[in-house]
Amino acid sequence: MQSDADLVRDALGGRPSAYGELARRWAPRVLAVCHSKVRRGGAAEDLAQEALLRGYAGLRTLSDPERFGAWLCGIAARACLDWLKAKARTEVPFSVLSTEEGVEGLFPGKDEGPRGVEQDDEVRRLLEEVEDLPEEYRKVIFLFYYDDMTYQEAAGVLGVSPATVNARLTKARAMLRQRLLTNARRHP
Amino acid sequence: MSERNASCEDFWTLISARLDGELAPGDRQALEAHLAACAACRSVDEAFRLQDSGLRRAFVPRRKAAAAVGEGVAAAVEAPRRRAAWRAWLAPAAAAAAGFLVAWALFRSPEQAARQAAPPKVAQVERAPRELRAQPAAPADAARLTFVTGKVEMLLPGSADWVPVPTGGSIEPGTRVRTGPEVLCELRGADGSDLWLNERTEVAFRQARSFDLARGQMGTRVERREAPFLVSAAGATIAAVGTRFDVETGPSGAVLTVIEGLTQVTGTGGAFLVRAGERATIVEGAVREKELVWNLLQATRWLNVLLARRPDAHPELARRVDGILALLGEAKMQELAEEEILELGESCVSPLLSYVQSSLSRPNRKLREKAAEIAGRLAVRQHVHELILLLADESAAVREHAAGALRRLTGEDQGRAPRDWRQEPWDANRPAFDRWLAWWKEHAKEYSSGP
Repeated sequence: MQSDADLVRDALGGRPSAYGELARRWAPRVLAVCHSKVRRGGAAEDLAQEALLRGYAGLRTLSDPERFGAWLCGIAARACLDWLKAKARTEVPFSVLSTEEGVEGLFPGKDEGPRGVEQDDEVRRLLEEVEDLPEEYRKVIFLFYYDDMTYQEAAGVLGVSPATVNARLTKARAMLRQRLLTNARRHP
Repeated sequence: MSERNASCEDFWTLISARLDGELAPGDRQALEAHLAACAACRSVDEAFRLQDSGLRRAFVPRRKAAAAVGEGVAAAVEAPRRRAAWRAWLAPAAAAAAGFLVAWALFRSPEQAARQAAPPKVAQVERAPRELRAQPAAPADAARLTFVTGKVEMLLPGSADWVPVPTGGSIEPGTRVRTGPEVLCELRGADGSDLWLNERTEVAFRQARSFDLARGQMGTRVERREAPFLVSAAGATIAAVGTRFDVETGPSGAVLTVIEGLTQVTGTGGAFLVRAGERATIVEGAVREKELVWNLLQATRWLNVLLARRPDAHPELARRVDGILALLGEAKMQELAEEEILELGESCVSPLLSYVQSSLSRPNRKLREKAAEIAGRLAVRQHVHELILLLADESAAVREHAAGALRRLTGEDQGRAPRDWRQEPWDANRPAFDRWLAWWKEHAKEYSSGP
């Protein structure tokens, strides 16, 4: 498998399909970053797509191809901040983004069918609980379950040590367990 | 008590690591010994496992969404795949009948579309010399006028008088171009992009790949270049890399319809993505509404009128035929029983394959897979290339049907049985897919025309 840096160099050398490969490779991680920032799947997909396209447009400004992933995740994080700011500034800048339902209805094909079929209530509740975790914990969960990453790879994306990734994942799992237990007691 | 909890929590990180396949060999024994002695940690272990399998299930649609995002971006940056099947479908023998069908589909009148319902009568048809039609404008020009149905005027920079533009005439940056009532025109941008102006339209050509739509309606097919292609309307800028879209201005703002690819609308309201099959209303620099448009050909019907008036076939018309085939495929799947489609035979294959490959089939996975299955059963040699491309489909079932049909038609399987194409993630299929592509390079000629 070609490294990210090699693909960056190929793309800069005039082979757009090399960036296509990078986009396929990084889409799950970029989407994980966006989902953890904006906490809405549909909006996160838009933003991930935007970040990947911005990455393509600005590839020449990437000084060190070895740092493609971190650079791209930085673009994604900025796109999310812009979106959150715009969302805060205008009341309803974009009506369809105001509810998850609206977004899912807008982009058929992203889901495999009616939500009820694919996602039972329990599974949906689990996803909502993940979205409600503090950012550093939901981010590590998103990275792990959007993409099968090793601790080492996740550490690279998060800019922390593999031991910290392990600790955060453990904490996130413990928090999720606690919340699900509390919910179960509240709604037996 | 608190001391016991603290040490237990240390073991939780080991439980977590084991779940993720990251437990260091030296820690395994210590963890197992602790779990044997501590019921509370056994319960945590069990809870983490259950939670992990729940999360994996919960993320199945999310992972698919991620794959779709990646594929969408890859498609936007990679050179478009040229599909040739419709041409085979429109083989000379079938051309007369198909031509009628295409004409019917192109000009079928929608009840509601007020403007489109009355296509302008064509006053006269002029055509540019062939060399002008074939080539992009010289780099110094913003565009060249390649086809008109009447008088088109321009206002040169610094001038106060509108003057007629001859067919084949070049448009310098800074020039404004306008069409009058019942006049449509086609321009070829310096970058090779196509621009079509509807009647009563005025556009300012700022430079190559940058335009202001002052009034009226324009359609574009944007050539892929590094610099974005920009159209300003209703206080916003529509940016595209390589795509096809249509913008219509009205009293309250502009309506953007994206036919293929992806656009970004930027204005005072922020930046919004508008994708293929979506129609966005832009008011005062912000996207106010976004809706799905299934029948894109009807939605941008004015363009069909222009393309069909051309004396020669424009590739855009070919793309539209693809869209029509997809609609026909969808209609067959929705209205006919499987046996009826099978009885109709191979003439159904191109519409069904177009349907499978178009966004029309996205919302209905089962119907899409059924269409692939029927197409696979009916396919003949001329469909081999399209079937090979379907081996990269996101649906495991579609891949399997395509591989089965390929084995039947070519006697080859490139070392991978049809059922093995179901394997996920798709990358496992890549070596065999690459072998099929290489095989196609060698054998394309044998399969390029029908039996």
